[in-house]
Amino acid sequence: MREVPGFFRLATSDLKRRPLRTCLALLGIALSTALLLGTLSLHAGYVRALDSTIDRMGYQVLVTAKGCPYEAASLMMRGENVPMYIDEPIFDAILADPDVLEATRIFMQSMKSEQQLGSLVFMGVDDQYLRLKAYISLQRGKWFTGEHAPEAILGYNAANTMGLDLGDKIPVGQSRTPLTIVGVFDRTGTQEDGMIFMPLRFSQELFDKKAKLTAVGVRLKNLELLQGFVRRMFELPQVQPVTMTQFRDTIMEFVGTSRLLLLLSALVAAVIGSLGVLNAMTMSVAERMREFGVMKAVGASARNIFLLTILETGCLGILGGLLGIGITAAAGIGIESLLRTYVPFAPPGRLVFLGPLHIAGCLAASILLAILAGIYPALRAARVRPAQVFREAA
Amino acid sequence: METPVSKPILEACGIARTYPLTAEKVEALRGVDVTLAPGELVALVGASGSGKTTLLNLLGCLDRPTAGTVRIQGTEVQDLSERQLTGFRRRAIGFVFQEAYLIPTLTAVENVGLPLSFDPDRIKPSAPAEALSRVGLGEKTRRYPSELSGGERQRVAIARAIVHQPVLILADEPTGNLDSENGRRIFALFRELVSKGDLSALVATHNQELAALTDRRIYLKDGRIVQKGEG
Repeated sequence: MREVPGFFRLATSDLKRRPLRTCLALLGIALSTALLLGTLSLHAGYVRALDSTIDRMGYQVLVTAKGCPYEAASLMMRGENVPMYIDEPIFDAILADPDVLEATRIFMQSMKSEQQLGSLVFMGVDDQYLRLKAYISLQRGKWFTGEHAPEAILGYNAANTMGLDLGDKIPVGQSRTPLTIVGVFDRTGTQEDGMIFMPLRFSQELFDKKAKLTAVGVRLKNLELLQGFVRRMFELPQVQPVTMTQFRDTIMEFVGTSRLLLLLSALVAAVIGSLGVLNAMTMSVAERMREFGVMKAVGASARNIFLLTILETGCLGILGGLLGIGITAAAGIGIESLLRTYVPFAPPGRLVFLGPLHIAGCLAASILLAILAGIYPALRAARVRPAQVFREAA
Repeated sequence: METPVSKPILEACGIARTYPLTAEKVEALRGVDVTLAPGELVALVGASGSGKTTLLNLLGCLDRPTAGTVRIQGTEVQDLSERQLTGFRRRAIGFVFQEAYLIPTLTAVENVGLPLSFDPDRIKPSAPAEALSRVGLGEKTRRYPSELSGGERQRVAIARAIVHQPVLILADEPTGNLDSENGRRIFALFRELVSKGDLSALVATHNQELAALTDRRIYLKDGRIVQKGEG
């Protein structure tokens, strides 16, 4: 043990003196840090997850039936039924556009699981689908034997949750047509992991929507051609295009509003946390006036006392900040599941992303706030006049 | 004026201190002269409110006199800046108060080392343990104040006052909260500390029996010296 206590030892030793008060001050800082970091991490995580989801869709434009295009895109990304259809011949018109590199027909239906597994999402696809989605590959089994074959390929999660494997059969639709499982896809980390894929033609017949499509996914030869393509799509009957960029921007507008509200909450929490530190330190300094008097008597300068008190509040800021970071990290999974319940569109993947810059920034903010809150008590402590203190004590 | 046997450590001439606390000024000290020779142990005797604490604060550079001069080891301290006074206190003066005012979350040896926290390079790091040994607490360096008796706590405070090797110890009622036995022990300790001759001590007390254990006594009443006694 050191015989001469350093400034750090002097500062931290006082924090142990009133553990409850210290804990409450720490909690105030920790909660405001957690709220700020949570907001920033959530925003960063949401943007990353959304971008990743959009990137992995494999197409830049989704052509849907006229209506609200964003609703259609959002429903499709969530794997829900889109109650509007386009006629299949339009697919050929789209494919004929000179700027189109590849296009895929999408037919999507959902129905309740008989095994109480929630909604089952069925996706009717053609060969083009896998060409656009290069990241999807078969883990086991094979592709469909024909366009009308009553076969299914399961997404990775769907196979696991339903407990099905190659050769098993599942009855589907009102006719309870048995589908034979011919393949299982590898994990992709997207909504597709939970889907059941069928040949396009077979799925249209099964759900009595012959020559109908939910959407057409389009990849252009070049992103610079996007504007011209969109303009031409608006000229086609029945359909409207929605670009993934527009879709992203619309979602981010909504998220941005929520983020602003959360940041305001974090600001309020930070003010409350700072007031907690101010209160704790003012009380602590008032209780220790004689101690500071003794310190000055034995050779401490006003600057020494000021720095000592600021160091103490700085330690509160560091500890509170670290606690807040810990709270955010620990609560991340809970926050995610809560969000998935209440947010209209939550992309798959981690929604809370704890980036090192955000962590460092929030820790710095908590230290700064604590130090700012400590300035007044530190000045009071530094201004203590030993003679006055001891005269009052005498 | 006293007639010291060698060059005095402390010379205070005509010091006065007035406080403008109310409509009328309060004259806490009125023209007090004090001199301390090296190795002297002097008692400052007076009732509560007689001006003992005010005088000790002025002699210890914690306050400035309204009039008069204070010279410690040849330095006129009333003209020094706050910063210079702080530095001077660090080097030359040790304080002991009625209460020990130890920091409860630091061990005995850390409390003794407190003055060195603000001046770490001047004194060797082992000085706190040595100071504790000098006051007879060499075995209790790691104890916290709550684990020490009242007398032991005051000994720790005395060790804190001597750790930076001052030339002058100013003690304000150091035995005020102790029983008579512990009070005698503390005065015996002061006697032992000054016996080497490099240190002087001025100890305020209202206990005549303890005051009789010192070399000289200065009696203070209503801010004036009313009597001096030797032997």
